[in-house]
Amino acid sequence: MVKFKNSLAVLVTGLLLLAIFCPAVRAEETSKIEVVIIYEEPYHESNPDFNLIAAFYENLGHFSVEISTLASRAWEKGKLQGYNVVIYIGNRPRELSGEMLEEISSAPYVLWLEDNIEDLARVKGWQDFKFYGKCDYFVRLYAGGMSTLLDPYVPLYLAQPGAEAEILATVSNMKDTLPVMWQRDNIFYLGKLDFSFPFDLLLGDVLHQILPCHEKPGYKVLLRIEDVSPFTNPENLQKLIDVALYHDIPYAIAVTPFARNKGQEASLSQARELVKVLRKAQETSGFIIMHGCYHSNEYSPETGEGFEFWNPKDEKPMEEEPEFTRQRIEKGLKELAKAGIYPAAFEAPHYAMSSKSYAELARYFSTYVGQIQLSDETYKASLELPYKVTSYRLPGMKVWPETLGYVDPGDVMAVAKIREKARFHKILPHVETCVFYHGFLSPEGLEEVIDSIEKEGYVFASLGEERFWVKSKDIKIWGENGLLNWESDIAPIDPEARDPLYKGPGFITKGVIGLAFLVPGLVIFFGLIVWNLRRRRNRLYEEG
Amino acid sequence: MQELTRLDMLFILSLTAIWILLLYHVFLTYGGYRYFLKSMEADEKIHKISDENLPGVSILVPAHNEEMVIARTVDAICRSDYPKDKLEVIVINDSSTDKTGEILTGKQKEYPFLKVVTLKPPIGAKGKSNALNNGLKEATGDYIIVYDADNTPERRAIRYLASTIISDKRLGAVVGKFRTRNRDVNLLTRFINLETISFQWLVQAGRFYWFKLTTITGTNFIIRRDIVEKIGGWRLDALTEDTELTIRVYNEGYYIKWIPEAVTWEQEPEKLKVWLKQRTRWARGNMWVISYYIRRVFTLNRRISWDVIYFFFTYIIFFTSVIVSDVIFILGLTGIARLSITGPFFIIWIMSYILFILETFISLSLERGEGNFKNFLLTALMYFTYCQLWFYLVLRAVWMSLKDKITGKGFYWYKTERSAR
Repeated sequence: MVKFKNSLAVLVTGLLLLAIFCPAVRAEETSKIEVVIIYEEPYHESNPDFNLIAAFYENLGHFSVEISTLASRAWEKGKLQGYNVVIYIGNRPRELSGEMLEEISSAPYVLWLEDNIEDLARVKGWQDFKFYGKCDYFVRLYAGGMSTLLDPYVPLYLAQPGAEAEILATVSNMKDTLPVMWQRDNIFYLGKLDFSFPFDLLLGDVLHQILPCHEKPGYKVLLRIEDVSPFTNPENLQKLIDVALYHDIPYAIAVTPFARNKGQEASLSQARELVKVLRKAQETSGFIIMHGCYHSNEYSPETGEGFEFWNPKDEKPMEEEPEFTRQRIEKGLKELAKAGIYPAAFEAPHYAMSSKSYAELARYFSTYVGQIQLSDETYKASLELPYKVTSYRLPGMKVWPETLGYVDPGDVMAVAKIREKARFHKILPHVETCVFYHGFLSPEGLEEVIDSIEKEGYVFASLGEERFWVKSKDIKIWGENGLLNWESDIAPIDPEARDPLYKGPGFITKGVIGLAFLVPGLVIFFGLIVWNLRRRRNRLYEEG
Repeated sequence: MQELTRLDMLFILSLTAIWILLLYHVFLTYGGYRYFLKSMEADEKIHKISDENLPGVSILVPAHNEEMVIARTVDAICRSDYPKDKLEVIVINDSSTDKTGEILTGKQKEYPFLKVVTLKPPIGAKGKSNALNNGLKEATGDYIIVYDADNTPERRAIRYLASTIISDKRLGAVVGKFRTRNRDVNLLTRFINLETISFQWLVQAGRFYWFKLTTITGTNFIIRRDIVEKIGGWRLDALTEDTELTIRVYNEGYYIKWIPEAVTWEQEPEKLKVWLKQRTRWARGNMWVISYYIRRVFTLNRRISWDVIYFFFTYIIFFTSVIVSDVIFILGLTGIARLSITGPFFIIWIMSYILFILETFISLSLERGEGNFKNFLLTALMYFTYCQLWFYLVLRAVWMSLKDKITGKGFYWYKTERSAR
């Protein structure tokens, strides 16, 4: 079955085909770019949970590159030859040998991060270069004509790169403004390696200056209506969808097909009204994301709040994975298909999943939405990315990242924060990001979010723009350019038909409704009796 | 529709049982009201009967250590508006160790028609049934009236009881109304006052109006002597001999009438401990009667079999249901087990509370001077206090009965302690 989706998205995509590619194609484009990452050991000492190399792999998944890694101690003469790009992570101070530095600097492009840059400057013969080392108390970051606030306690490696350098970004405090990202000759330097806002954007920016990228320039955001489950109020969800329709923007809905809460359990196919709303969305400009199966597990039992593919109590993966993961994915897919809902992508509850589960997931889904968990030791090592990547950790999966965050109803600054982030993202030549909005929140808040992001020049993207597929034994889903196709062995329910199991309002409800009519009637009747008795009191009672 | 868990089913069943009983009581309340209106018109005819047409009656008053109240009781009975030649008053002094005997001897001089039957161990001190059976042997009247030793019947009460029972041959017994003499002593006696009024107008009058069913309440009733003899007197093994007697009277094909105009004033417990002991006996007695007759329910006269079922429902199902729903509520609060069903249970609870207040207040309004605002507030308070004590009481009674069953111990007749008011 094929359904035509979102004509606007198709039109926009078509027009953009005519536009020019990313201008920052610096490295060789003819053959696959060879990148080597050199690091100091141990490379994850400062944050043992956060694997810098793994994070780099994910970031580079945006580009068409071959990646190798090398600990600087293991360097031998000639080992760096043939690489188009050398990335050096100065994650700890070390005196580097002149020969190695010579070999690094002879690469066409070098990206140097943080420490030990003075050694390279010496080899390069930069007389006017001055390295300040680790500095802090810088409060503002300037890049691409924009600025954002910095955490003053975050240390940065700063240098005065000399007159010939091109300054790409600076930081300032009350007194000084110093370069934090710059280019001199074939050397690109970034004084802070941090994969979270705003330094993830500087890294993305510098990578785009070095590596070829075929993405079209422009700022895209995916709107995700989050945590829709059988307990979601279908009327509120419809109101949120109406806001998106009013703005004529595509959107995605993250749906959890089963829900558990305080001993209650419900499945999507039972929530007939919700199914109707979701099907309507799916037939127009909405795409569905499968957001786990229960959004809960035995260690965190409440749907919407709980983890599913992670044990938060003991901070470890679920026992019996990947079997557990496989069962949940298949069960969820079946329930969605039973409801006539066909997802285009997957999102793990709280983005928490181990590498084993990711590998299992990659057999079923081509596309993932959200942050990437980099560790099998903690779910807190979660990676934000400012653009789409082909993931290493989720073997071969396309990942729609999530960096703009969400509306916390308790935070009055929530929308302003989203807008601030969206604005600074524009230092990149192109952005693909995501913002999410919970399905139980008011439509007014969503209106604000859409307005503020649109004012920053963003275009809302469709999850179905690019090719995607979902495969299980009984269900095949695929599509691109806004089209959704599926083949399913599971007959979907008819939400309009009466559920064979549904016997009208439950007998409890009927009983309560009956009582609700009966008791006030009795109250009035008894009230009249009392009134009558009081009125006739003197006649009724014997004098005595 | 989602699957109901066992806990859900249990909860729904208990809620249904509670509401069936609540609505049945609404029905009875209306019956009581109708009976009140009806009794205003009809009874004049019955009671306009000349002295010569009144039957000879024997009044039995079992007394066991009743020195505080017996003189007043005897005075009230002997001064009643009833031809003295047709009145025989028998006080059964049941092994009293106080001055009851002396007081009665004094009273015999005052009232020559007063007989005193003195029982001594091993014949005496075996409870009210035994005393009544012994009194019955001495009685000469065709009709037997029973008063508890703490009662002061109104002057015309005996006349009303007698004139009513001779008005219909199918009438096996007639039961009068009892009121609380010491109702203003404290909160407990005020609650008891509300309870007795609402019990009589709701359960007694309501059931009589709809089904001609009334329970003998142990005092202020008249019964045909031949019936008592035929059924072998009062049962010694029943703690609530009156309820048991009721079943047998109906089973003989007679019916019992409740009349509000025959009034006696009795003294109710003023201390919680005394109340608890007395009511535990009632509860144990009623449970004994229910468990005895529920097994024989199909062999009983149809009318009374329904009443046995009703009492079974009240004592066993209703109390179990309330306790079950309370336990489920507590389990839910503590998070041990939760219901998977949701519903406006709080509203249901509020509605049942409103019904309770209204039912009780209507009964109170049928009694002169009782349908006032103060009693309305007391009723609202009663739900949370006095009524809850009943749960403790029933559990206590169940526990004691079980304990006795296991240890093989017999029952002990607890005689209610009197206070001098």
